[in-house]
Amino acid sequence: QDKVELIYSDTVSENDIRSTILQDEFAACLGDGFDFQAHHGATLFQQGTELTAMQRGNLDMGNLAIFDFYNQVPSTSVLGVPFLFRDYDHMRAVYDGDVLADLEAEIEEKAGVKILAYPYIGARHISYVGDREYMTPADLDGVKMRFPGGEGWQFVGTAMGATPVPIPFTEVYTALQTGAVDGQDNGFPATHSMKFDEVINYMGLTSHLIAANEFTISLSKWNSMSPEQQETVQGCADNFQAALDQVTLDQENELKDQFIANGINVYMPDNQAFQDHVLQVYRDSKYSADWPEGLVEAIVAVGQ
Amino acid sequence: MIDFFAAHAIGTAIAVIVALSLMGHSVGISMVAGSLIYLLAKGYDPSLAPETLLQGLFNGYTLLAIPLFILAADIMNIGSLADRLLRFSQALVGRFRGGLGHVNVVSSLIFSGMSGSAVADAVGMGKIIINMMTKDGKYTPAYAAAITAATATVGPIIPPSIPMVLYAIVSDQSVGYLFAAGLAPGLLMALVMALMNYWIARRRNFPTDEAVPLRDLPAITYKAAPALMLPVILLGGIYGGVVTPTEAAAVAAFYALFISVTFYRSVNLRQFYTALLGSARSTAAVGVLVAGAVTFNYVIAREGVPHAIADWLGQYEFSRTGFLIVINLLILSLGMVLEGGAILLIIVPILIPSVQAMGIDLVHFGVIAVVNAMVGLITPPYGLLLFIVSNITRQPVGKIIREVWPFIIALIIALGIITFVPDFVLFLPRLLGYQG
Amino acid sequence: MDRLKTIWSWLGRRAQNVLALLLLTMFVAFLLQIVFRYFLNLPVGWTVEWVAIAWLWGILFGYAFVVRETEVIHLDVLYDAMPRGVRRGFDVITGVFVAAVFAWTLPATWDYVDFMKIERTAYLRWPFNFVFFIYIPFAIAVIVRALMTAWAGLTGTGPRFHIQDSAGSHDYD
Ligand code: NA
Ligand code: NA
Repeated sequence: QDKVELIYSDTVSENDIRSTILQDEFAACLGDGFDFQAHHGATLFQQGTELTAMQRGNLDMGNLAIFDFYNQVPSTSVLGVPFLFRDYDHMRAVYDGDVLADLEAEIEEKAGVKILAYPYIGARHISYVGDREYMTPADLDGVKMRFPGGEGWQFVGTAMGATPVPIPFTEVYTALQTGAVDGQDNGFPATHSMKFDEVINYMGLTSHLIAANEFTISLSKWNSMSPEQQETVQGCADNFQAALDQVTLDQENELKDQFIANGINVYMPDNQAFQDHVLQVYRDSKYSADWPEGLVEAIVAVGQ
Repeated sequence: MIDFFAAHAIGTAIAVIVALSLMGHSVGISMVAGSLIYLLAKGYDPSLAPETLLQGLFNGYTLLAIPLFILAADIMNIGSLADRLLRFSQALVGRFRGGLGHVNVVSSLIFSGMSGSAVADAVGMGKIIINMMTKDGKYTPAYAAAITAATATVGPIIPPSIPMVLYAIVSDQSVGYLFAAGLAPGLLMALVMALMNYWIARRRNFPTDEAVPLRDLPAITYKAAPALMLPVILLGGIYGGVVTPTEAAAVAAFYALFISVTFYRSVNLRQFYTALLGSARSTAAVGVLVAGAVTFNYVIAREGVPHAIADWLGQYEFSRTGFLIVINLLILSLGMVLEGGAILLIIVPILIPSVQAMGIDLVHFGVIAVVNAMVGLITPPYGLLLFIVSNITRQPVGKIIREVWPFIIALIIALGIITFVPDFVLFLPRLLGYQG
Repeated sequence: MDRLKTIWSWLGRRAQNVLALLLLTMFVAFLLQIVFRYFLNLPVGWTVEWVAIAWLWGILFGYAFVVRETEVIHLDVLYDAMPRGVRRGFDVITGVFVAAVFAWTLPATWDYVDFMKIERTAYLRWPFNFVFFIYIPFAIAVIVRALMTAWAGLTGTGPRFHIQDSAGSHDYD
């Protein structure tokens, strides 16, 4: 029997630990029946174009961000709402449970892809060059924070009370250094791998987004496989998710200690004030119109 | 027959690109055609080529400075800014042989402090200086083009530098230390090129100007002052946090326009339109070449060329010196056919484990890799910078290639020092606390 | 015939207007971006997106409708060294080959551009099939240009881009 060819593309660097985990926990787990070809660092497809590449049959698998689905499945935007999850355990319980079954069915129907797993990639926090701890949304008034480009992302910044600036990822370091922006909102791993920790001196642990990727396979590839093969792929994806979760959690703890040791003030803001403010801003915005009825409440309920 | 092409798809694609280009077809279009041939030979979806081209240009943020630096240069040329700068430079260095060649080197050093892109330097400062050098016939356009292309390679070595940021991401090294590590090598590169210019000027006996009397200097300086302020304003804007390096291009164009209109009263609406159109045409011509290079990246990535290279390297047991020489030759030759960003994002990450295994410092290696990638931009046959200065000067690439060799040799000597004297690269980062 | 020529050159000038306008909007958008962020503390995102679109359109539109063959970047080392007959042969071969490859893949290209209607840009929310549409006239222009190259080779009216040394320049060696 022929091997199942799986062409995979993501935006993580070849030497990142996440690429190693993918190789060790997913690719190696698949075994001889599969030919898994991983392309890292957005060398095969640009960030955000993986979904259409899968739909056109030019790519089999990818590790997407939730905003990548927004254009085709607007209701997915609910998963990008800040302060939706209380913490990692809450996030994991939601993705492991069945609250998202309808949403996943909608994604399969509208986008023609299947989400195999939701590997944790870290909580996003605010970090900045400043002279005091910003505790509440009011403190962020007039603070120029870099948030990723795109309307949805920029609105996260607005909702948190900051002045969002869409600087491209590769220019953020220089922008922080020169003061073109005051801060940015990546979590520990990216803040460290992009070297922003060399420049910032404050980090407020807002955990405003408990971020997971969508480890995705095209439905046409999925349906072309036998039930046994599907079982293998799903099992290995779960493997990958568990391993990446652990690595990310460990990394966050280590980096937190390292940042503190390096003189960065890592503190806990008044997150209740942030959460109340942000959820209210979202409910009053056009974004809540896309949310499936009652889903936010159901997700919040899982955490209680 | 079909099986043969499928099995040798990448070879076929490269053969098609080389053949079409050498037979005189547009280089950019040849690269797209070669990529299409690859996809057809493999039986893949041919729309992957236009997809890669469109997405690559649309997401190529760092390239966006190119058209505006071209525009700034065009405005400086039609306004009298360039003329006044020329008179000022001539007064200072005109009596020395090869004086304007040295001005070219120094201007690249200044420009490298504002821009992280060699292409932006070549089209921005380059266009102005080439005009200055060739106006009175003292230098051939080919020589002016060659020294401009060669000195533009300094841009991304001296901070700020987009290639260094890309390298920092793929190698997990500090941007700050990499920036510091680039400073001495950047100055060294400028020095060797200035020496080469001096030597060539002596050997070919380039004509010199009459010495300008010292008492005329204040007036000439005064007239050129607004133009001389441009680098000060841009550097201040970037390091003062007002603009990002990419936006600085727009500020340069705006300042040139503002000065030309208010101080020198030398630009009217008609001329501004001509500058806009001329810059946009250059952008389109250069852009199609960039587009071709971007498209071919898909072929390189899909074929797993980097891994093949790493496997090939792994067969041999190199000494450290031998390994460094091989890596230098490898990146240099790849630089002839790939653009710099592609080398740093596609090839370098895969070499890093072997570099580490060899006990080579990763900050040191980063500087080696970036310098190599930049020298590759002026190494024939496919050198983006060569094509760009060819477009600016309307000189055949072949003529420029003949003039650029001495500078490539000078840069390779600098590269040798950078490669084999790690302390030369690392002493500055160590002063700043680097533990490597 | 004269009338046709007049219309043709009128269209050519309008294309130039559009190209110059694209660069002007890039220029203005960048300046607005700085003013809004630094001076008004109101950062905007659409400017970067517009600049990226104008850059893409500037290249492909410019190449298709404005840039002349003499401005396009060629590698002339071998070509210029060849006798006229060989150069004509080169033009016919490369022209026919490039036209064939682009024409053969044009349906697939259209399929991609059309497919992209399901995605929208991040700020302006424009459908991507609009943004990417410019590739179609670009591809057709490549085909037409390549055929003109081949025709010039066949009839001997070429070469179209050989750059004569200007009177002022001379070699030192
Ligand atoms: Na220069
Ligand atoms: Na620089």
